[in-house]
Amino acid sequence: MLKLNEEPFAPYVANYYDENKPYSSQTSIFVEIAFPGKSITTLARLDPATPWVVLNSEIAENLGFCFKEAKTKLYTIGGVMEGTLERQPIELLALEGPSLTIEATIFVCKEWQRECFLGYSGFLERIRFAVDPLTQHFYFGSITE
Amino acid sequence: MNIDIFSLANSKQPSLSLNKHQFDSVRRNQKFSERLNFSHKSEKLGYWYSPSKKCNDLFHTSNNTSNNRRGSSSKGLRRNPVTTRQFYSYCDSNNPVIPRQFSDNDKYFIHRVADPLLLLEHVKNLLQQGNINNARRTLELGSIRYPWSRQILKLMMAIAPGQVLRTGEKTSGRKKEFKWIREHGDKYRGQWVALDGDDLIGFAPTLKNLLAKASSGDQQGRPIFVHYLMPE
Repeated sequence: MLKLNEEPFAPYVANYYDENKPYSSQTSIFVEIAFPGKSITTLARLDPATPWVVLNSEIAENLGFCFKEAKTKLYTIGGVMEGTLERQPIELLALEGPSLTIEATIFVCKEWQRECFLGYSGFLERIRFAVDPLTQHFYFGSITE
Repeated sequence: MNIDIFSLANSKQPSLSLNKHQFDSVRRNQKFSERLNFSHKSEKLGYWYSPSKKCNDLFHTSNNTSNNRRGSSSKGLRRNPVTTRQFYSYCDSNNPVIPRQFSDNDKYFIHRVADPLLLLEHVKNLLQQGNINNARRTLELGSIRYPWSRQILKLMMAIAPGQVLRTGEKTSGRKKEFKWIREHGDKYRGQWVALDGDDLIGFAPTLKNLLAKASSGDQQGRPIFVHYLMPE
């Protein structure tokens, strides 16, 4: 358990998957997420540079989002995307300790066919987190605890 | 159609799902509107909310201010005694979400934006610039200025910091699945794969097809682990 000033800092643990593609200098860190009421889990990339959670369009469709008239723009590595901002609880699954369900702000976009991203304002700002590259553990906890 | 936001705040079971933060915000707005002597029930009092010439509350438009005041006094509208200074002091003491120091953006909004659609446009620009904190603050102020605006409330709720709850779900850690992706993932680029440990349950170009295949397998009620392997 990670502590800060004798208080639990990020007490829950999950494994993470890191991917270093040969054609890219970037290393991506993925954690496992689930959606309450749905029988699938998947990996999502931690990306504090992205403001919102961006779900692959097929996952968004599976969650029941319909692609309404686009109202918001988002600048991404794939160009400018247009979509809508919605609310969706997303569960960060833990190997040790309880999992956390975070009411996330997601950007729903029909054109987003890439991996899922966990952005800062829509998700990561609600948790404390740390990674240990030695054990490939992802430590996390709620900021309200 | 105007939504009666105050019925949401007064009801024990709000019809929209508001978290505590959002519910408190609605209540604060209600209190503030009551203090301003806004009559949310009377839609006849359109001049309170309308950006028309008669709009003469503290959020006056920059144009025709004196005319507005004259128009107001001629109508005997003395039920709106709040000045801009009082608004600031009220927000300072009663609304911890709104900072004591108003930014230029706040002042711009309070003094100039006399239409909720203009406000929403302004917020969209802020969101596109990645200025999330200012967008949130503007919407907070907007929900005070236009407490009946469903669009402002909806967007405020959509981008507000979310609640965090602990749940009892567990994961196996997915070490075997991660190992499988490292070793075999390149063969399935551009496909969705479903894995159970180091067993490949199925793969398909679309998630829909994959779930149709994978759900027929024996998962014993466990959620199916799926992953999209990005093409190179």
